[in-house]
Amino acid sequence: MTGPTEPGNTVKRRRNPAALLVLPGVVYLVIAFVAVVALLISYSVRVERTSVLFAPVDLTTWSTALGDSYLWSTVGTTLRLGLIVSLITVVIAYPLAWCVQTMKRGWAAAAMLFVVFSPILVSVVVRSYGWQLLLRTGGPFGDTFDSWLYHEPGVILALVHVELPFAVFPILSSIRTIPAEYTEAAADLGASAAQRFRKVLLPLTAPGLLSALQLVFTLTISAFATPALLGGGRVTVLAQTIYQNIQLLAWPLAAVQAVILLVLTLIVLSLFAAVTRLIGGGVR
Amino acid sequence: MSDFGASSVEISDVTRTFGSQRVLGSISLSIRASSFHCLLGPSGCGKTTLLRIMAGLDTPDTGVVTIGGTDHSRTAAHRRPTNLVFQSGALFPHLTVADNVAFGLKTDRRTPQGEARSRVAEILDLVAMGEYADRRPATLSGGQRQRVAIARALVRRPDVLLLDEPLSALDLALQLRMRRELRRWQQETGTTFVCVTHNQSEAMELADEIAVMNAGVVEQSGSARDLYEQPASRFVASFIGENNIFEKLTPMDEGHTADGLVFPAGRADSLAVRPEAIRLVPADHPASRGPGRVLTTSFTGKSVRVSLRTSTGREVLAELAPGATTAQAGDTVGIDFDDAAVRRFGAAA
Ligand SMILES: Nc1ncnc2c1ncn2[C@@H]1O[C@H](COP(=O)(O)OP(=O)(O)OP(=O)(O)O)[C@@H](O)[C@H]1O
Ligand SMILES: [Mg+2]
Repeated sequence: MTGPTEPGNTVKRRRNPAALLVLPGVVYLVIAFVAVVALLISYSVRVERTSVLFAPVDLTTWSTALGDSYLWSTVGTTLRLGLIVSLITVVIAYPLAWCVQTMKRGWAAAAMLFVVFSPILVSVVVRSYGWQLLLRTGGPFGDTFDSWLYHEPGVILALVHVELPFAVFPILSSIRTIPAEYTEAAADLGASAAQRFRKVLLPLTAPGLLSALQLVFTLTISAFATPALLGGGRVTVLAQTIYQNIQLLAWPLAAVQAVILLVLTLIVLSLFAAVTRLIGGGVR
Repeated sequence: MSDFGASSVEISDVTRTFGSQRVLGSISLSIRASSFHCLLGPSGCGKTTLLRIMAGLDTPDTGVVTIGGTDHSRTAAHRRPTNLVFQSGALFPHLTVADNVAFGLKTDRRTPQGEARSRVAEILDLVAMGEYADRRPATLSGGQRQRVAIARALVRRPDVLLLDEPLSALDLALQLRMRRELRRWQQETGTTFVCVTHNQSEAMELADEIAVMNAGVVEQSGSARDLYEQPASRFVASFIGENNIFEKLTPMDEGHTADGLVFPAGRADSLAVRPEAIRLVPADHPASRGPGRVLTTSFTGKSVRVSLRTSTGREVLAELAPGATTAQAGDTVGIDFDDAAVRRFGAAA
């Protein structure tokens, strides 16, 4: 970053005073994240909860946990839910965002945004019992969705519902950066509506699409309340087993599982970052 | 380059309203095939709107757009035999120069790949952008981007190429060079060019025919010479070239006067005399039409420009051959011109 300065002719860089403004955030993050992760890791290498900081390292919990097929099936369920929910959510969110963007009347767009937003205005408990009322036998749909409630489809339905706004917003903001002229130019150059979408809109909004996927995926694999309330004990995700182990006072096991969840999240995030760099690298 | 198309364009009674604002009020215009036609007018007079209507990107409230004898009023943009070069260029940021240019060939599957590639290369050579084929638009200069935008539209060999202020983003030297190139590309392809501009010298240099627009109507359409020598309205007289405009002719005992100068008898709301038609004579000369006090004189090389003030305070500009006057700032001289040099507008009943 240093310019082509001659020796002895050094330019002293001023400290950016705005850096001070970041300090409270940094302190908070260090305490809330780094310290907690350090504690988690230290718990995970013990056999029981202990207040002794420098107790000897013991990997028994790790080896039993990693050899447990139930844990792996939970990891599988968690990843599967994350993948399915993020794909469905983004597929629904894309046209929704497009629709909001193209609405001529301001109040109609605002109303639409409110509808998209509404799930996060309602508490997770209320929302989940709402879905139970809708899906249960004898509900408004009879027993059509009987097999959904307390099974994966019901959990997916409710998760897609609550995570829709988190997908709509990144997509909407990336759509908003595209001037109407690009699609008009494409039309002028002979592109049909489908070609305009495929060759211009989709590549230009890909970064927004990817960050939506990323956001929904991470939210889904760490979701706890919705799968617990709508899974009826049959759909078990990592977050639930962590909770259960804490209830059983099996802190080291819970810590191992929490570290696994964290590692999974980091792997997926870096995968998304790599893809984003790959396709978005040359755009701007 | 004989494969390029050329069609005439006929616009009849086109109107367009945005909300309560009448942007185009009944426009009728005919554009000859293979001609270079400029739409000239001040900012906001509806030039872009008219061009977008020709391209099919906007729909008129009423009226018919005929291209090459076929009514295209209801044809969607992607099916029209026209291509538009946007005011901003609107190059796709995610595609290279070559892919931008190839875009319009890939959308219609009739062009085989090999031919598409050679046509892209050919057109990039025409606009002298061949060596930038693999660059992204963001890495090009404004002038280079404009060339690519023009190439991207031309490569489709449209019957009519529509250009929206293609040179407005460029510096003056580049503008002058690009004008000559635009003209050359038009002649080499034989395509009908319709070019929007608010720069009258650009229109006069480029166009076979100029349509002067003002507040959503075409005031006059004709060659640069017609517009300069026979302006049909006060607006055209003041917009094309420089002009001295005088208001309200008042009848007097001996002749008529306006702004302190004597004019030949006749009715008019306003009168126009070109600066180069004005002569300076001694103040007491019998030919003098009225006195003028010299405000400034400046030498431009080809001429001397003298700005004067008449007895009523109206400023008058005279453009004289070098050496035709020795007048200095502060002098009072007589202003003279031929009767035939006077153009009259809006003769009040
Ligand atoms: N989509 C639109 N909605 C509302 N008003 C519009 C729209 N497009 C254009 N106008 C109005 O129509 C008028 C003419 O616009 P237009 O863009 O055709 O002008 P122009 O002659 O191209 O001007 P310029 O030389 O500045 O580009 C302007 O007053 C503008 O505000
Ligand atoms: Mg315009």
